[in-house]
Amino acid sequence: MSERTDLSQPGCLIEGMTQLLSFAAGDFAVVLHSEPDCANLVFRDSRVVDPRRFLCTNLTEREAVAGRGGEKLWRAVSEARRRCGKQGTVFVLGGCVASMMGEDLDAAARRHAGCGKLVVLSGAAFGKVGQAELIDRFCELLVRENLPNRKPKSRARRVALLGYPDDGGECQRLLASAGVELCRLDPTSDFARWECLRAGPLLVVPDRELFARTGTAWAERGLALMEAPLPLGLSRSLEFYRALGSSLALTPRAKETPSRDRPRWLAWPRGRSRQTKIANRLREEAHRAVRRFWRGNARRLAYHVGSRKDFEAFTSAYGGLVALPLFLELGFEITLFFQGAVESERQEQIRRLLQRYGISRPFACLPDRLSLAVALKKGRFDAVFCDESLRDEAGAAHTPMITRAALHLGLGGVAPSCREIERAISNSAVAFTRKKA
Amino acid sequence: MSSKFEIPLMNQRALFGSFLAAHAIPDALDILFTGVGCKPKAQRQIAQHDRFREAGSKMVWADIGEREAIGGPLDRLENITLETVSRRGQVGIIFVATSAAAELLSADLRPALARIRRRAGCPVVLLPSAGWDRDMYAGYGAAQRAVLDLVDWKRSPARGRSVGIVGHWFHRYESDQQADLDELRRLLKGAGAEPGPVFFSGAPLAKLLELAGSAAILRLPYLLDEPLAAGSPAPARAVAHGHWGRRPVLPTALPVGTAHTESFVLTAAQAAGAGEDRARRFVREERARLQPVLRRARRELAGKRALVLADTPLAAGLCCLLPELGVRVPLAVLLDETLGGRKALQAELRTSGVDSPPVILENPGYTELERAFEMVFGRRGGVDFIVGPDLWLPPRIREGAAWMELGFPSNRWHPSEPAPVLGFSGLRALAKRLLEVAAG
Repeated sequence: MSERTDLSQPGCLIEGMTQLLSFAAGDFAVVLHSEPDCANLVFRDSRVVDPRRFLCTNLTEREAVAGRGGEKLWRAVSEARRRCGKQGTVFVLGGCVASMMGEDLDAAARRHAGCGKLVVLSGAAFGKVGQAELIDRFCELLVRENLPNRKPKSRARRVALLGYPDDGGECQRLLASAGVELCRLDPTSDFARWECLRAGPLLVVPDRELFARTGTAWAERGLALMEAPLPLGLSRSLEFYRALGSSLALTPRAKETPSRDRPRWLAWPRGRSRQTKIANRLREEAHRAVRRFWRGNARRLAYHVGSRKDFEAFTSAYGGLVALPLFLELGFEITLFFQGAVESERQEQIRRLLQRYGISRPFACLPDRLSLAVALKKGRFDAVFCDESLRDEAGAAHTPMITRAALHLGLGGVAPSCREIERAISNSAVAFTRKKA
Repeated sequence: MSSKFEIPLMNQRALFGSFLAAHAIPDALDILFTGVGCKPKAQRQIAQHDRFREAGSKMVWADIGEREAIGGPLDRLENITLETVSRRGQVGIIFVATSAAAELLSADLRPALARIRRRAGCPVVLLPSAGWDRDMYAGYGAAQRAVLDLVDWKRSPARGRSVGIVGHWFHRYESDQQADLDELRRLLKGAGAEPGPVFFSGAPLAKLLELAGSAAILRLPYLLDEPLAAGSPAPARAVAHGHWGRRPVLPTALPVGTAHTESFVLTAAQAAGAGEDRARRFVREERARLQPVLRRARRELAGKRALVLADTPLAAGLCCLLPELGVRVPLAVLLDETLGGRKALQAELRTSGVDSPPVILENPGYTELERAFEMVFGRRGGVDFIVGPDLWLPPRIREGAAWMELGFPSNRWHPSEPAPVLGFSGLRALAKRLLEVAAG
């Protein structure tokens, strides 16, 4: 496990894979080789695509003790194959009990003649898998499945963004204006969508380390891979577009000196085209929003990492510090809180990680979520950036909470993000209680 | 196509049931003696369901990884539990739930739990969950029994007409559940009884233990007859024999629909030793008050058909209630595996003089459900209402149906005003909701 994965909440293989597959569309079926309780990890409410794709071998205590589960697995795989068709993929996920039985799952599952595409994944009993590691493994699988047969001859005019949340179509619009085709991918994308990789686009990821295995699989074929930061906040959005522009060799149509705040390909002169106007307007609005943002005594923000378990790139990229640049550019004075083990070994790990990102902020490790309330009370923060599920803890400390939902991506997202952060901080109910306290 | 490997509609197991019980007791802690992947089997299941009270802090994972599983996990369990207790201060009771894999480690937890009990200074109860076969209701019931074991039954019951309730299914702190508790208390008062503690009701442990002061106890159907708790089975035996200490324990139906509510009120009056006349008068008055709503509902809903998805006790209530509103129930899907199932439902409806739904399924998989649906409603036919929790249903079933979310999980329904399900008020609220969903 890399340093980064240790900072996010770990999970188990079945948990992560079922979460990713519950929300993904495509021709596949999943067999959980486990006791019935593990099937409880499959989302089965109205939000999911189709839970009928999930089967469970429902191992019994007797089978577990006797080590007899292979036959059942084989039959479940056969049924899964019938359900997803010959072209579909059958995933077999082994749980703790299956691992303790010590069976060769791969051999047992492949007994089925003509088993087609079969992916067998099994973790160790009581094994922990980092969210980042699992996202990477899953994306690697899908990338390998869709590698182009040969390297594209022409210079890429296609871009695939992997692991970037939706920015309301901003990037797509801006790239389209430069004649570039965009495909957006994330671990829960429809399997068919991943086929866009067959055209050999420029694969862009927000964090090269997060997608280490995926990137290797892509680069092995000599295909172009690039890291561009998640466009969250003004500086990161400009950096994102600057990186894209330089990689795609997008140049301004008129002579204009690019500056740090004006990436080359966004530096089109005013009025040349509708898209140019849009780009310029977005950039200027973002500038204005950041300039307008409250500037008095620095506001104190507690930035909490490590309580969220959603197996999303947004949560795991940069060790969970993805929103930090936005708050820094808005002038917050930030203290970092990492939920998890408080041992000195981990603290050293965090120190090294922060050093790597050039972040010099004070930090503390919190053993559990309840400790956050204590830390917030002690620190008298103006706001806390944390997961929605920590509302009780933030409420107990009378500290306004900023959640991920308040953050919007892209240049066009800067102003709404500023507005929502401001709104969260000036939340009258919390502010009133805080004053009283 | 075989559906032997399909995941049933409701698959939450005993591990989750015991967690839900811990959620229902504000000063309880649920220690998961499990692998890391079992954490979402508990807290995540109600993250969307209960928007009022976050459940994450109820759960403590004993941090059993590969190393601990091999080298002996008990020290870890003990250290983490004691650290957590010292950080949190006041803890009323600690549940320790185990997973199937943890049980295969064959570690004897009892000495460690005894040490924890001594040092933490609060009761510690082992709830061997095992995800092998028992459902969430069994896990919840086991936790109820464990807490009932802590009640001081030697204490003399109060002389008054105080009646406690056990076997209540409290699953969130939102206004629907609070309204149910208010309604239960109102029904008890209407029957001439003084409301005692309700197991469980969001009350802390000390409040629950005051059950010893109740002169009689009503048992709702979510507390099973057979002993399940790891501790002493004394209360379980007592349930079977109809007494706890010197207190009569009277089983009663879940008060959903007028017939079941009337029976509940009369049983409560009997438990309290109050006169039946008063209870009957109360029921008569309540029935009269309901007439305008019932008349309107019958007028507007007559001939509509509903698919009911619920656990056995609630399904029994709904199968009585919906016909009162003019809605037919051709298909009932029972979502539990331990509360009696089809036979119990049929027996309950027979007692109430209501026709059983022609088709009753017991926690089916999707294939079985689709097949039965087609059989009952025909290839092209549909259903007007789905009354049940937020579960994914095949498009063929949910298309064109108005959905009234009810029970666990209710991820999309979060009432902002009291919306009971139980009692006469529940009937009125459900009729109102049905009329609203029917109107789109």
